[in-house]
Amino acid sequence: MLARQRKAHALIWPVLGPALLALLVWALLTRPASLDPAPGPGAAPADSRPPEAAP
Amino acid sequence: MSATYRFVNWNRHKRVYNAAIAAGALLYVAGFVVISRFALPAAEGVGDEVLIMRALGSCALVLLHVILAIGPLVRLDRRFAALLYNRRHLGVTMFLLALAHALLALLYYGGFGVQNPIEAIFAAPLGPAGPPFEIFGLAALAILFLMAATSHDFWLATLSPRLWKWLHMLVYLAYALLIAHVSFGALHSDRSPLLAAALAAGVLLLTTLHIAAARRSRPPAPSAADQQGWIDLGPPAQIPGSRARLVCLPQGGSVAVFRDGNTFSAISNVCAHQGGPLAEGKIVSGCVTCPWHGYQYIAASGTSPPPYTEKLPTYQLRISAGRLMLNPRANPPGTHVTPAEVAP
Repeated sequence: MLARQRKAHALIWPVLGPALLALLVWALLTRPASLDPAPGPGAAPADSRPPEAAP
Repeated sequence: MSATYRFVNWNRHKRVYNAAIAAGALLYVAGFVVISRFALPAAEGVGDEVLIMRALGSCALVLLHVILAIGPLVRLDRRFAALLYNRRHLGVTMFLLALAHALLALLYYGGFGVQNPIEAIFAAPLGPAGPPFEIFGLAALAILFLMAATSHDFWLATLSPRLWKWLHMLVYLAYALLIAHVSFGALHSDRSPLLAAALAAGVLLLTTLHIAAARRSRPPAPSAADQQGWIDLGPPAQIPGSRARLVCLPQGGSVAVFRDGNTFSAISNVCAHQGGPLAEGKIVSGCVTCPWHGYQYIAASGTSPPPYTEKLPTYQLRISAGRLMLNPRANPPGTHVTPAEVAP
C-alpha cells in the first residue's frame, strides 16, 4: 500500500508541478489589460458583477 | 492508538500544538491587514472586508503549502518527523480558514443580503479574462470539507487505511483547484508581481521537494532467498542501534528488521494505523515507534503494549556464520518470536 502510494506521489508531481506553472503563465497572459477600463463600446469591465452586488 | 473510543485524545502536546496554530493564524491575518492597510499603496481604497478576505485566503494557502511540504521533508530528513504527528490538525485549521474566506466572500459579493450569494457566484460569466475563479474555489472547498470531515480516526478505521489514504490524496486536486482559483482571481485583480512570484515559488518548492523525496525513498530491490528459503541480510552490525533495515520480500511486501542492543527482531513494515513505514521509525522506550503518528509495537511479538490492541505479523531471524538470516514466511499477527542475539 505504502509503496503504491509513494509511486503515485512520484508520478503525480512531475506532471502536476509543470501543469500548475503553465496554468499560472496562462493566467498572467490573460490578465485584463486594465483593472479600471474606460467605459465604451467593446470595453470589457474588470468586474462584471451587477452593480447592486457591491456592498 | 485504539484502546477505547475517544473523540480526541487530548494531551499537553496537542493543546500546545493547536494553540500555536491558532495564534499563528491570528497573527498572520492581523499582520496581513495591518501591513496592507498602512504599508502598501496598492491597498488604498480597498475595504477592510476585502483585506480580511484576502488575509484568510492567503493564510489558508500558505498553510496548505506547509501541509504538503511536511511529507517529503520527513522523507528527506527524519528530524521533520515531529511535524507529522498532528498534521491533520493543520489540515482542519486550513479548511476552517478557507471556509471563513469563502463565507466572507459570499456575503460580501452578495451585498450582505442584497443578492443571493450562491447566485452571485454562478452569475460570474466566462469572459475574456478566463474561467470563473469562484467555481474553482468552491470545488476546492468541497474537497477540503470532505477531507476535514473524514480526518478523524473513526473514518480511518471505517473506510480502511488504504481507502482513507487514497481519499486524502484528493488534496492534490484541491491544491490544483486553489492555484487556478488564485491565478484567475487575485492574480487578475492584482498588478503586483509579488503574488505571481510567490505562487510560482510555492508550486516550484512543492514540486522539487516531492520529486527529491521520491528519488531518495526508492525501496531496495527484493532480496533473494537461499536454498532453505532464508534471506541473507549480511552482518548484523550493519543495522544501527535502535533503528531498522528495510527488507523487500521476493513474494512482495516488506519487513522491518530492528536492532535493540544486541538483539534483532523482524516485524511487518506496515503500521496497523495508516500503513506508515515502520522501518523508518526507531525503538523508543523498548518499543518500535512508527515515524508517522507514534504507534508502538513490541518488536518480539508485533503487538502494541497494553492496553492497546494492534498486532502485526512477525518473522523468524537467526544468526548463521556471523550473518543475520530472515525467514520470509510471515507468522500470524502477534506471534512471539525469540529475538536473534549476537555476543556483545
